[in-house]
Formats: sequence, C-alpha cells, structure tokens
Amino acid sequence: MTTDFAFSPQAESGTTANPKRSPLTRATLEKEIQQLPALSVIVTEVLTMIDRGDVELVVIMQKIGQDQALAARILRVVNSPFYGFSRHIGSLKDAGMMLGVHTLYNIVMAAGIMGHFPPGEDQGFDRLSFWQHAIGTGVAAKVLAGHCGLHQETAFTAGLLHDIGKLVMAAYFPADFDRVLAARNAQDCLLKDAEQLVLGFDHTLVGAKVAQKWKLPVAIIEAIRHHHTPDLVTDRPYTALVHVADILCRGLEIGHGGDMLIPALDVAAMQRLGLGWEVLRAALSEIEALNASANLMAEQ
Amino acid sequence: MKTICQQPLDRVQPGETLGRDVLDAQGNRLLAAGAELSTKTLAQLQRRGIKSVALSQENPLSVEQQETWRRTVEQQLALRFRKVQDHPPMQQLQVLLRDYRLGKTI
Repeated sequence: MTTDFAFSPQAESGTTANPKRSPLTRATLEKEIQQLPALSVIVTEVLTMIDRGDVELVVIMQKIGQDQALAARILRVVNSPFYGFSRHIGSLKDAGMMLGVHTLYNIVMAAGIMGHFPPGEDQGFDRLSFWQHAIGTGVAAKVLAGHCGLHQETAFTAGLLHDIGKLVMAAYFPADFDRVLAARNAQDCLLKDAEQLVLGFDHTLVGAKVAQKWKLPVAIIEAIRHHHTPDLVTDRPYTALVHVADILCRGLEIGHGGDMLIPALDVAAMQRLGLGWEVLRAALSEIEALNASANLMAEQ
Repeated sequence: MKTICQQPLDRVQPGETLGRDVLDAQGNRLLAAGAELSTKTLAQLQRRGIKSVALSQENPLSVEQQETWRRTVEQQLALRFRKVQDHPPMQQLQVLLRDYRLGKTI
C-alpha cells in the first residue's frame, strides 16, 4: 500500500531535527518551539485572509490557487465521500462556494499542518498510525458534536490536531522522544505519563505552544492543551469533546497515538456536553461508518 | 440468533442484510437497517466511498467459535483498559464496547 494524505500538500518543509541540540527542558521549550519552521506562506496567508473576514472568497481562492498542490488536495477532499456532495466539484471557485469559508478555513489549516509532517517513520513512532488515530478522533469529535449541537468542522479539526505535540517531539526532538518511548516501555504507562516522567511536561504543552506559534484558533489550542485535563477548562466545550472523542477512538482501536492504553474518562466532561451512555453507544457505529469514508484522507 | 458484524464492503455479497443504517458524512441515512443489499446498492455504496457496512447475519459461528471470538474481544479490551480497571465509568465503557463488538443490543 502506498500512503498519501488527501489533506496534505506536497511537503515544502521537511521535518528535520538538529542533532546538536541540548536535551529539551521546560525552560528551553519556548525558545525551541519558536525556532521550528513556520507553516507554508500560502497557508498562513490564506488563514489570515479568512480570519480577517473582509476578503472576498474569489480572492481567497486565487491565493489558494498559487499553491497547486494545496489546490489539488482541496479539490480531492471536497470530492471525497467525507463531505458527501452529490455532484463532482471541478473548480476551486465552486469548492469555495460549496464549502463556505469556515469549512475552508478548517481544511486549509489541516492540509497545512498535515503537509508539514508527511507520512514516514520516526524512530519507534509510525506517522501513518498516528494520523489514523488523529483522523479517527476528529471523526469521533465530529459525530459527537452533532449530538450536542457544536460546530462539526471545528470539532473535527480539534480532534485531528489534539496530539500534534507528539508528532512535533518525534520529528524535531527525536533524542528526547526516544527517552520518552523507553520510559513508556519500562513503566507500561500512557505516553503522556512517560513524557511527564522524563521531561517534566507532556505533548499537550508542546502541542499548545506550537499551535500558538502557528496562530491557530483558541478553541483548537485549548483542546490540544487540555484534552487529558478537561476539568481545568470547564467553559471549553471543544476540549471536553476531544477528551471524550479520544477515548472512544482508542476504545474502537482506530490507529495508534503512541500507546495502547486508554486513559480514564472524565464523566463530568461528558455530562457538560449533555452526552449520556446511550448517545455514546449510538455514536460508535456512526464513528466507524464515517471513519471508513475519512480513511480516504489517510491512505490511497 | 442474529448477530451484527461490521464487514469490509468488498466482502459483502448481494442478498445480505444490513444490520445498521448506512450514513453519509452529514449523518443522512443512505440505507436503512434491514435493507437487503443488491449488486446495484453495493455499487452505489462503493461509489460513495463506503468501506464497510454492518451486516445482520444468522450467526455463522459455531458455539465454540462464538466463545473464542468473545474471549478475543474481551482480552483485547482488557489489555487496553488494564490501567483503569478500578474506575467505574471505565468499567461501564468497557462493557459498552464489548457489547458493541459482539453485536449485542443493550
């Protein structure tokens, strides 16, 4: 099987680690994150244009058209069963009109970030399995969002990016991440617990700092930062949503986020969303069905 | 006894019966549970990118095979849930996932 990401443009900036770097610590983390490569210029400009709210769609689509790979990926995603449009969409202009700016924003953001980390194998960390878990969590969040009245596209993106800190560590800080993986194996624990043990912080902090650097929306940053601790931000529904979605995705064994364990469910987070056990039960088959169509994003 | 099990679409034969609704990305029902699949509907599902469907089947497994399947499902879940066994909501979630995998209605 060849692997590809429908969401990802051809990677412009390969992920390379600096072998001479000192061990990562909480004190050096901020500086190290600031030195990581930016997202592609086109992706950043498009996100800024959409964020401003006063740029015409035709101008935004012209900007996207300057990156042929990004444009092709958007057309491929919009024509995938995940979006379920009944007719083929052949032009960027039509894609923009069909999707609307909010969905477009989420697709460009996902494409830009997934393109930053093309499929490959870091030492002891399989990016394809990682993205399968990420997409599965996005799908689970999208399905649950439909049950509790939240925006499904934001939910999908928050789920998709919730573990991005793990990928940043695997790609840019491989020596530190090797020590984390060794601790995970030795302690038979969740990856986040091994990260705390070795580094004194975990992937949620790394992910949130990278997300801040990339100027992602606050709801996404909060979901990345607190998906294991939703009790710390009880006014952030997308954080609670991603917490529950991550656990369901692990329970359904979709992909592999770096460990084969399931963390404890914060029932209060579930209750804040108005989700009961019957809804979770019903959501399982919806998640598997929708994930089957979303798989097109992770493989070809 | 009928059971429901998820099958890859390319292994589904015309004449088999859906055990659960098939939904599109927006949650719209493409086909309802109980529908008999034809060559035409299978082709339509394939065109829409559906990779797997839940079939309702007269239990094709022997009692021994059912027992082996049940044990496999329970062992896989126990492995994943081994660090949260004393957490009551996780016990509830584990049972929910087990029953879902085994096709039980709860």
